[in-house]
Amino acid sequence: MATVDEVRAALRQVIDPEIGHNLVDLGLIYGIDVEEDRVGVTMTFSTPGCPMHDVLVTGVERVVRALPGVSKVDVKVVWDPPWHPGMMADSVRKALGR
Amino acid sequence: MIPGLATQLAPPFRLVVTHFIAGLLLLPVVWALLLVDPSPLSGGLFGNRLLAVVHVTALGFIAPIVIGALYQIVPVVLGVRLTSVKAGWTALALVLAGLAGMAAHFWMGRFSPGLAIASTLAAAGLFLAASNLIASLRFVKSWSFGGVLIAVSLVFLLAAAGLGLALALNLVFPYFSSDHVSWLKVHAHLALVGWLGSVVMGATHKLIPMFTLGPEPPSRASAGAAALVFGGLFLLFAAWRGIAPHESGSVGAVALIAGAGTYAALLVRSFAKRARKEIDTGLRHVLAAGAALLAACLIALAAVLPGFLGPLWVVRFSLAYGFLLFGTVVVLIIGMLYKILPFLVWYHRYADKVGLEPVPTTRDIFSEGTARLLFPGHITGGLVVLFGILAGEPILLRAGATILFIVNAGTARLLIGTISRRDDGDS
Repeated sequence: MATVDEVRAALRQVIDPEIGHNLVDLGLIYGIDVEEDRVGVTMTFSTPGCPMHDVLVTGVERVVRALPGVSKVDVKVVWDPPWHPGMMADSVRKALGR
Repeated sequence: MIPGLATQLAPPFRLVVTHFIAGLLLLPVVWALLLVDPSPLSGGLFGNRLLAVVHVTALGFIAPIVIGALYQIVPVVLGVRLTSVKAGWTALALVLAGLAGMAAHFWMGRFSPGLAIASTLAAAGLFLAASNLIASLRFVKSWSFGGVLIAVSLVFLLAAAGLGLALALNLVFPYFSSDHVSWLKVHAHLALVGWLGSVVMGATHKLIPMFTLGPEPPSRASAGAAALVFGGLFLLFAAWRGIAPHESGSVGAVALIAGAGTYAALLVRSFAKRARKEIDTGLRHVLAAGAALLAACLIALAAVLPGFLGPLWVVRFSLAYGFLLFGTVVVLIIGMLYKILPFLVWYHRYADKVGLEPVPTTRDIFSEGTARLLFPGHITGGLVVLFGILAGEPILLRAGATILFIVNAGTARLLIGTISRRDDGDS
């Protein structure tokens, strides 16, 4: 069975190609839930209608499913609470000039 | 619509980028024409060679790129599929074929039946493109401010194309000669303010916050600003056509400028709250376009104030106003292409590989450094042409046209190079 930390580390491989930072540090991952071979990921996007939506959701499914002991991945996209820049890691905020 | 899944509804990559390539290749032609003969920008208004230059810009550069972008943006923003890809290709071919004939006839000052045929082809292409998009909009389930403005823009495009065709036919087979110039002003403003103003407001409302990670401008205030722009535009039309008193034209101009200013202020407020503080070259173009629009508004106000300018300066200010209005759109389009095109290329080449292997970012496939080098050339060339218009000086016009020819050719090379970039293992 994968751990939450292993899932989070895997999710760091998925990079938003336009911003150039991974989904975890961008604050887009709201929750990770591991139950035996099933992993649930709750995430959001910086804006509804983000054109990267489908690509990044598929990327999340792929990197998590590639972990040992994971056979099922459920990605849930939510818009509440809405994402805001304060959710980004300090390193990303600094890189983006905030 | 499921937010974001709309990218899967987008038309083939090839259709969209072919529109972009056509536009990018035709923009340097505008400056080549002005190098050959700068008189269209130093003579009177509405001369035949000015019509040639204006139509190469509008139908050669602006229309293909804006229509190509709408084919991509409408599915993304509104969650509907383009009705017919084949109609998209046909429309592009008709517009370009029509433009070639129109530009040649205008340049040579030959208002023969060939001009009527060419204009009919171009108008048919624009009708087909707009109808194709409008047919797609029938299936929209949830309308946003951006979506409504895109729909409005298509109505303006149909009106501008229809009136443009009527005017071209009038040159060949005169049937409303006394009113030709006032209708020409209506046609130009239907296209530049109605069609392109709506597209600009609709697209920037969504794209600027998306690229800068800022909040969207409030929809209700944005709608109010748009209403002022369109209300002002129709007052101007009424004054030009003698339906309303002459003074209402000034009121219309002020309302139009107030609407544009209000929308710009809303965008600036959103921009100030952005998470991405870095201003890249694409955004620098957007800011430069805002400055050009402001200058166009000030020049327009000076030109319409009764008795403020003598007849010679009214002509020069009017030419400068038109140049700045076109400059606003051209610079904005280039800035937006710097943002949109690398994303489209990335999506086409790498979207399937995310999560399976490391993929580049959009910055890795686009030379921001080259774009940064070209940017001062756009501004310098534009200013030299502007001063050339105001001074009525052909040497300045030729110098500016030379700079802009080189810079626009460089822009075309940079962006077409991004499209045609090949990687190891790329199929």
